[in-house]
Amino acid sequence: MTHPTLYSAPEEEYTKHVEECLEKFDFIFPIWEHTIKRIFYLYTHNEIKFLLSQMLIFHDIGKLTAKWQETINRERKENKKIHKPFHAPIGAAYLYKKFTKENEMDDLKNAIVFAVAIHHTDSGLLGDNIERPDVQAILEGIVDSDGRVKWADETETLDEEFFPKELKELTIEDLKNMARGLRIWARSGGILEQHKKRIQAALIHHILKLCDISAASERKEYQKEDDENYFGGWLMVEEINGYVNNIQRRSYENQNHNTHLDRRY
Amino acid sequence: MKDTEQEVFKKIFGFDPYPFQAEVFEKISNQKYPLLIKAPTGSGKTEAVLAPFLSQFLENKFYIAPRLIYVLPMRVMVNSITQRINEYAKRVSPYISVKIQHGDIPDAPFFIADIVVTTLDQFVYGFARASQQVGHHIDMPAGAIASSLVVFDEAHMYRDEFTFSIMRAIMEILYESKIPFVIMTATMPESLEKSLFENIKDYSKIIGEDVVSSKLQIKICDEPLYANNEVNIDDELLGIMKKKKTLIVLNQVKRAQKIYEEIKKRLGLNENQIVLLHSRFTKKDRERHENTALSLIPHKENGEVKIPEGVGIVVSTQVLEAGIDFSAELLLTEIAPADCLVQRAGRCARYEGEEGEMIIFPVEDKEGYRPYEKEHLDKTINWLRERLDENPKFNIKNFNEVLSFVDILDYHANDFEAKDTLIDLYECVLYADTKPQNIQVRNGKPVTLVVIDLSKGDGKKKEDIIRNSIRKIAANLRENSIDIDIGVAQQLQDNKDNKVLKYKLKYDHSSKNWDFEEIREIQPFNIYIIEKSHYDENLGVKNDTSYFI
Repeated sequence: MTHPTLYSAPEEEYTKHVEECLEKFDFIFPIWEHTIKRIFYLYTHNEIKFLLSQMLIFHDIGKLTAKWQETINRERKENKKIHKPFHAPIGAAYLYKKFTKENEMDDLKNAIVFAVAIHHTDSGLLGDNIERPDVQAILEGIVDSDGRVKWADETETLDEEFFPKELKELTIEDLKNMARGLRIWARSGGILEQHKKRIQAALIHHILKLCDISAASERKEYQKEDDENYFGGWLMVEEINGYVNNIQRRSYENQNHNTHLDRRY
Repeated sequence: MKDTEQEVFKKIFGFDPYPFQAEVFEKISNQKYPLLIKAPTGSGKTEAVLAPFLSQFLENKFYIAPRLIYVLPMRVMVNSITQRINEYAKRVSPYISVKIQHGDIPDAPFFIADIVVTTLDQFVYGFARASQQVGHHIDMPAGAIASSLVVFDEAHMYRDEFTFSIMRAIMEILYESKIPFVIMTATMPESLEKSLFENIKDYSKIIGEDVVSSKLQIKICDEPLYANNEVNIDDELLGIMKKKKTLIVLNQVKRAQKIYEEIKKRLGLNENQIVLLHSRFTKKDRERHENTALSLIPHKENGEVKIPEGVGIVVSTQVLEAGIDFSAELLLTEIAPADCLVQRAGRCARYEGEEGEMIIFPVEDKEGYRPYEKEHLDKTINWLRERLDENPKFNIKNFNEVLSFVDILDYHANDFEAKDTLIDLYECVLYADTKPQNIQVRNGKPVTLVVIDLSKGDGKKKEDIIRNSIRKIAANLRENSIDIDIGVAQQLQDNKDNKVLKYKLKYDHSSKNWDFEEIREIQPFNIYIIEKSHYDENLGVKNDTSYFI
């Protein structure tokens, strides 16, 4: 379902972006499934796909705060880039709260939360995203005086799948818990154990970026401006698009091949 | 139904697998990692790991990993391997991407492709969030590594204890993180294998076999080729060199330059009959010399051996141990550690049925043994003398002989350094370095020299002439540059009367122009100007007396 007035970028409807992420994920997951199972040692679990699709549905949920939507609407109206409040830790905090209700597949769940928390900054364990997201939320006017996240009014009309009612209970306390939980997870154990967790988080973060960027490649900010910005963001967008397009083409090629075989036999 | 390894090899490469390749296919397909493959150069190690990886695309089932990162020790080896891999991949699907990532061809800094061929340096910088090319998306390469089958090819060539320690730390992280990896080598001594795998108990090992039968007769001389500033080559040897396609390998740049000049002068040769190869040439000149070397020595073109006419002599340092596929008839080499000698021998009598001669010379006393350990040279020559006494028909081309020969060397990673590296690598992750200054792969640190004729610029003031000279070459900076160890630059700077390096190049972001400033000391990761008068396009950097490779 699309929502006509909630945006994830100046010319991109929020729900459309989430749906496109899920569409890309459908192509990517089958070829990454075994690797995810190996890295997390979850060979017998079948909920992996569900958990990762939850990551994709909620990774940008922080963009539905009143403040963020207000800013993007101003940006659309004035046609210029305006600083927007942070959004990544909100999705991370929601997923952390949701996931910690059950004590299974902890590493995968923490890696998902970690990936969402850093998906715009790549700043690892340091930085406000993970060190003090609660303070940031207050400073940026995302929460009300009771510490509850202030959501955009239009979220009332969103499907439960995209905006579950528990989101209304999300507070700065949840942001704090998420940050503390991730620190404990990422920094516990010996040095090799910590490296392992970093690899786990990097793998999930990579999948999130593949889906997120390839679903949003039309965004103006992802277009090449000149040769000076060749490296960094622009190049990453090009690399991801080429890579994901190839996966899709191979998948179509394979389907055609199998259809052809079906007809023969 | 799943293809057998025979079917996969036929489809992708057009031939049946050798027994060791079939064994590699079986291990990788059954996810028996980590895997160590010891097999001769040219026996098809690359094909052995590619077959199971590419078979996933044939079946559209990715039970190994969706991506392959192929790591090589040197840039010079990357292009030809990539070309080969690309040809194979295209036979499977036009939609398999194969990209290169190294300093000269930085096409995949995020490692986002189905197959990425890269160097160890780039791999480590990517892992440690130290790549300068990824903007603020510094975690992407690590995610790519997490989703890959990682192959470290020619693993014996990392050489020094420091890099072995980095390797060991990386291997332990990959192992603990359940990332499949394969180590491939032709000449890794058992001592190094034990050291690298000390904390990895359940790895699999596969030993390859000779796929080419050729012979190399060895003779050991008593006198060095170069000692006390004099070249020691008698007329008889010169006469043989004129008739046979000859490769001469020296351990130091200075000695290679002297030998090249002396032979060229005494035999009255031109640049189309003798060529010099070492690491102190600009990229442009090095490429030209490598092409000349290939045109002078028998080599394969489209599978056929092509034998050039006339005199053909290549004088080189150890840079030749990797990358160039040619086959000399006569090899003169200074004594080097066993593994290096085997690699050098690989460039002589290389093809099926060929017979060649290898003459080994000692090196001069004092610092002559550098850049190697004296102990390694002594062990090697003593072992060879004893072996030749026992069996004058000893053939260095026989892989079983090679395995016992290289095992005399005691190479190992440094425990302390490896543990320290584990912490360094994690600190890079924590503190998100964006420049590779806190993590390094080599013991030394790199600097770049750019050859510029500073007298060619317009202007009246000295500064304007220099500035103008720099801007004239700005578009071709890369091809006129030489990447060296900082030790070489410091040695060039040590001569008080004639300092070779006076200016540092710097990029002015506001004017988007290259500029310069005078220097007092050499610092790593910087670019320095070397004036044209200190460089010769046939000899390379002049007056370089350092022993760095």
